[in-house]
Amino acid sequence: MGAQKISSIFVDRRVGKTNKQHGNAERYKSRNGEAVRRKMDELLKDRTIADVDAEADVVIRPETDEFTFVDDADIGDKGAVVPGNDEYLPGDTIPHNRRSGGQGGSTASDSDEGEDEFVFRVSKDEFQNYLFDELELPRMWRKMLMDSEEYRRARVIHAKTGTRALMSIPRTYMDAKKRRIASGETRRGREILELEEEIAEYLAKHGIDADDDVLRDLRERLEKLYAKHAPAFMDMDVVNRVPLFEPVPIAKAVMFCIMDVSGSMDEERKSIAKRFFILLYLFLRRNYGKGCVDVVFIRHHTVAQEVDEETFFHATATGGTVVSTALELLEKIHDERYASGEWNCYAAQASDGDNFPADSERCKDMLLGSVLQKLQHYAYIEIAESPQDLWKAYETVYAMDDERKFAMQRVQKASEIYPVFRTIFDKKEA
Amino acid sequence: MPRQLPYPKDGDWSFQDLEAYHQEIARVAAYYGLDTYPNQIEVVDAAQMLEACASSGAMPINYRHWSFGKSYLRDHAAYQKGHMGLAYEVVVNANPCIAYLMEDNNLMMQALVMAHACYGHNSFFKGNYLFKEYTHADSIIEYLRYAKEYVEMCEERYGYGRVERILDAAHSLQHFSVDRYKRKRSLTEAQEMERLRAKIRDREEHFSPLWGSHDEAEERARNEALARKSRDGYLAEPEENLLYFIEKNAPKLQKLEREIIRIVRMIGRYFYPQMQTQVMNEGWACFWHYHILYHLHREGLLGAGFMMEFLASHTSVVFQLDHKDKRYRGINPYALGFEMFMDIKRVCESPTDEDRTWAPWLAGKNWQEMLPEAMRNYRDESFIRQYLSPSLMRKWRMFAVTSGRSDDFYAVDYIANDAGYDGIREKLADQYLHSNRMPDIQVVRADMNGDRKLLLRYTSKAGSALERKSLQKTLAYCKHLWGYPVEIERLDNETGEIKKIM
Repeated sequence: MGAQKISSIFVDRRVGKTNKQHGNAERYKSRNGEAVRRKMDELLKDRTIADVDAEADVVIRPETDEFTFVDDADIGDKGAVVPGNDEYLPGDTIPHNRRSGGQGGSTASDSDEGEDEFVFRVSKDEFQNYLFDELELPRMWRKMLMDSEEYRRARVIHAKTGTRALMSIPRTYMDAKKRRIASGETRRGREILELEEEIAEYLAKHGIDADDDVLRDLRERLEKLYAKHAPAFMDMDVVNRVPLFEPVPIAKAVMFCIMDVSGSMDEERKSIAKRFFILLYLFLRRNYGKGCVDVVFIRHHTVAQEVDEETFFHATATGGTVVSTALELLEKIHDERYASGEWNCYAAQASDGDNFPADSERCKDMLLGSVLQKLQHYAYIEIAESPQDLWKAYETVYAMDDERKFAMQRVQKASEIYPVFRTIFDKKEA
Repeated sequence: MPRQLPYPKDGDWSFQDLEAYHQEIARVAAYYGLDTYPNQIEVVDAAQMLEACASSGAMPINYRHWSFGKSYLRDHAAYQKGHMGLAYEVVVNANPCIAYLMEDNNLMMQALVMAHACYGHNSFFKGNYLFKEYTHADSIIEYLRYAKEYVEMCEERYGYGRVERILDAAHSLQHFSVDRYKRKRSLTEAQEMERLRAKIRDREEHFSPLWGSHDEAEERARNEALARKSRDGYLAEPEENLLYFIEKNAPKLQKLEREIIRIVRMIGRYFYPQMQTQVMNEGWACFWHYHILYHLHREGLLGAGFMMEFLASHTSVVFQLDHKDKRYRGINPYALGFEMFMDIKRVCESPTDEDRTWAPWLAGKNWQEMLPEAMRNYRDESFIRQYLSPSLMRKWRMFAVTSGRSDDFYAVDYIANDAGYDGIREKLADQYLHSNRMPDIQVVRADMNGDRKLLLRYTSKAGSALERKSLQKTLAYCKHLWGYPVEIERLDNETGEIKKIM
């Protein structure tokens, strides 16, 4: 015992995870992409926007997708041999429902209900893809060459630089031929041929072993020609087709976020407004990148201030309401920093629509007078059950806005934020 | 008295323990004359076990397809929710025979799995006639590697979508890709692999920007060969191997699509024996883990603690519920197989008078010869027909029922008594007949010089019918492969009536 070793191999596979099935699972997920998307839409309705920066698990019940020929379980003989007889004799009958389980117990006609439920993990990235799919900032123009990181192929030139892989054979051939003519290579080549022929003839005439002054002279001349002779193609002949790139203008945008923090905005309304801006902020960051989009946060009650992100979303302040102060500040910031014409400017405003009485009129005039001209798009979200002062004033703006730059929507519940957001930034609407 | 094998209370194990147990198990297996492939035992974690189970039949390597991802996701979710335990054992019919041990199992389970898989299943793979005929353990892993590479090459060249559509369609017919009745000379996996290797090497053969060009000479040859075998488009001999027929005769398929179908067909053939021998294979493996571990116990190598734990696992594996139990889902193949092999041993060792009249060729013989004989030469259906003894039928209190076409009652035909033994045995054997588990579908007509329609015939038994929705979908797959309309007719076995069903 123990003397004879039996051949066996223990392999520890636990080290080095492979996750072999990941690719297959991903394929299955993308196969059900439509269903996942539909489910995401449903989920988004009641998802608190604070979670959009996280992963999500999506549970769907895909349609049956594997088929082969099978007998219909409901038709034909469902008899079987069964264990555990303690009461029956041949000839007895048993009602179908007595035998639990088994072939006949429950009907197997669930083919219409599809598969079991599947859980697909949707990463943060994918989730935001769904979230912001098909959305864009309207009328975003590429205006600037500076800082551009994107290049496109403009044209191709013939040059001596570049790698061999880019070689242009016709042009290289032409250059080689020019060089050969210029350096007398063609003439020399002819002479070499003639001399070689002459030597061959001489040898034929005088025998292969002949060795005299004439022959030696011929050979010497030939050697000299050989020494000068250059190859048909040289590195200096090579001409490459070198592509030239030119920078692509980039689109730069600024988004002015205007939030009403006055006393009439209660906590719930504030939170709805904040959620809207978080969504907007994520959307900009995701679809346009940090470098391309500036965000200016403006909050106002009776006075407007420019604040940083942190303060905008988290700090509290309160007071009366004068909306026009925010528009003034917007204009001021625009003229100071974004007036160069390189910027696509956008504004989004959230308010409960409650304004200092005469101020709404003033807002309307400002928008129509100068503000809208400076912007590509202006979105107004009113968080109120029925149209308020500001809404009524803005309706005129909406009516008089020929360029369709102005959008307004009313939101009452948190769950409406996302749908409203989609209508504003939907590509088709733009 | 030999020293007991180490058995810590908490069941923790080390690789030394595994080695020690394996040595003893292998020794006992050799003592009983079990002929096996060399073993390769892989220790994996739960996640890897799930992954392994997802690929069809737990193949360690396979081409990419979403259906494997699907079963992985399903198992994964079920496992995480606690709805499903992990498979005890995964063992691959290959040479060397690959078996997985899961790291979370305790030492007793590892020993049980080693005896069960590495010696039970392994010797079954090597000895059973179906496995010998349909599979080639030496080359299967290599073959799969090449198949994977080939499919990848096709995906790279022609796009994932196009390859996927062929695979989807071929998968739907994978169960109809075996020659069950007549035998064709077929290549072994090693030869198949050579074929594939040559094709991968010789990529030029497939290099055509138009997805393989249309070869008229080849098509003519194909059509002529088919015409020779048929009259008015009707085949002289119907073809049961649907995938084979399509691969060889479909008019529109390109070379490499045929090659992909062939791969699916080869894998289908590889798994055919496993589908036919579930009861025997599991029964054989259970019989041997039971005997090997008991042998070690008798020798004093395994203590009572180990055996108590072992028996708890063993009995739950080979337990058969009665039909009245809510959890009853039919006959447990582990239980039936184990009981039958135990019963054969009993008839050999201590036959009763009844056994002597029922099986004179078995009673009183040496069980160590008769048992391997049964393992080698039968499949589930013939095994039951040959070996299911009256005493086992009584012990299980088996009875046979039929249900009429439209009535709401089962009728009891046979119970386990003198008048009923033969009936029960026949009926149970029929239940395991492959052709009774799969619908009988054959190609009967393909007129290549006429309308090029493919006509399938479904032969129904006892009034059975095909499930409509899956029929519709599967026919659509057939059509995708065939390139022309595909129709199916139903032949009623009892009345002889033929009717087009779709």
